[in-house]
Amino acid sequence: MKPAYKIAIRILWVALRLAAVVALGKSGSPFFYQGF
Amino acid sequence: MTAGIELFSIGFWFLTISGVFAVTVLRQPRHRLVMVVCVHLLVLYWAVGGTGTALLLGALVTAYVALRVGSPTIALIAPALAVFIGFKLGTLPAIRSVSGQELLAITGYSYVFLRWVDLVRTIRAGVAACPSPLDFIHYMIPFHMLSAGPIQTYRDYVDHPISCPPLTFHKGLSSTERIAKGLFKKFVLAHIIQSVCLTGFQAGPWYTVLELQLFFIWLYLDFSAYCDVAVGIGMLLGLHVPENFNRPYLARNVIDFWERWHITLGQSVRAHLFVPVQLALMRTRLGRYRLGCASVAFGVAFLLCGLWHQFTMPFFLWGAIHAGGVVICNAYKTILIRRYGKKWFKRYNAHPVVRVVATVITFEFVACSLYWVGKAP
Repeated sequence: MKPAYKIAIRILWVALRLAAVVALGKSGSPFFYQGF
Repeated sequence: MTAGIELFSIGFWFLTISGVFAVTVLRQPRHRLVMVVCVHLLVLYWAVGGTGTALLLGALVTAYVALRVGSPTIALIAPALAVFIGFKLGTLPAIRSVSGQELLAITGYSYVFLRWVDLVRTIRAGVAACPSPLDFIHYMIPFHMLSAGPIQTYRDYVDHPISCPPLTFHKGLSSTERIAKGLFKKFVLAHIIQSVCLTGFQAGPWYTVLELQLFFIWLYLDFSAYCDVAVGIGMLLGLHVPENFNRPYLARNVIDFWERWHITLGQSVRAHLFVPVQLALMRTRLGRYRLGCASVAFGVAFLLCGLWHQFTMPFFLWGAIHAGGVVICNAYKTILIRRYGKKWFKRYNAHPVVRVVATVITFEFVACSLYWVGKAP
């Protein structure tokens, strides 16, 4: 069983990354490999 | 289409992942499979429209019927080959102005083609049985692997049937972490590099040297991001999605690079191009020249691999450069082993200076090979 604080850090890190995606990310940008 | 959300945009992924979480409620494998196949068809329609979907499904149905009645392989491959070549050639004149969605159509069909070849060859070899119609659709057009892979082999698909264990907190968190990692790489890191640093190699010779490095880094972030999302979605749905990258920047030669970068494409090229060509050559009188046979097989495999990506000169050059790199690398290794023996070669390979130099050279080789691919028209 992992300590609760480690799980909290993981959740926070996921939330931060998703928040960055929403805040900074450019919607609609195609993946490069879509062009192949 | 679909409420103004673009395909594979941030909105698309948030919508899709919400749907995927909803599908995890289904605990019967067959129910989940039916629902997932419906999602595949919906996303396909979203990607290529009604005509494209009808064309692809028509080809798939034809191919499936041919597979069931046991026609010769050439007849089985013909429908997929026709669609593949038709789309590649048909879109060529418009390639400069096509949108991301139209490009997806080309790519998607390319991946479908590779899956089809693998399916036929696996069944012909007697390794696996013919799939049911549902499994067939599920294997051929999985929405989360359609745009940028990975290219799951049919053997791998059969070995990992859909599983429906309850979605635990830890599993949900691990899956979400993987998806978040992918979205962050694509929509934040790759986007920043692309918008701030990349010019399509238009900014002069000195900056081009730096841009080659940045383009390679950007490409990895962008491409591996898609695979992260695909693996995360697979974890949630109880589907096995093979890993497509294994620290490619640490590759110490071009052959090693192709075992770390787009791993499933490398495996597909090896299984369906390199090995058959090499075996065919070895059966002739040329079989005495093993290194020569391997070199020709590498050349054919990588040139076709380049053209598989696109029937254009930049991709032909890219394939030729990698073919040359792999041939030289293989010949260098063979000559060293012949001259100094395997023990010496092992010690040579393990030397830290050799390792660092080889890794740097490989990185630069691959980065430079992308010049024509990334150059703005």
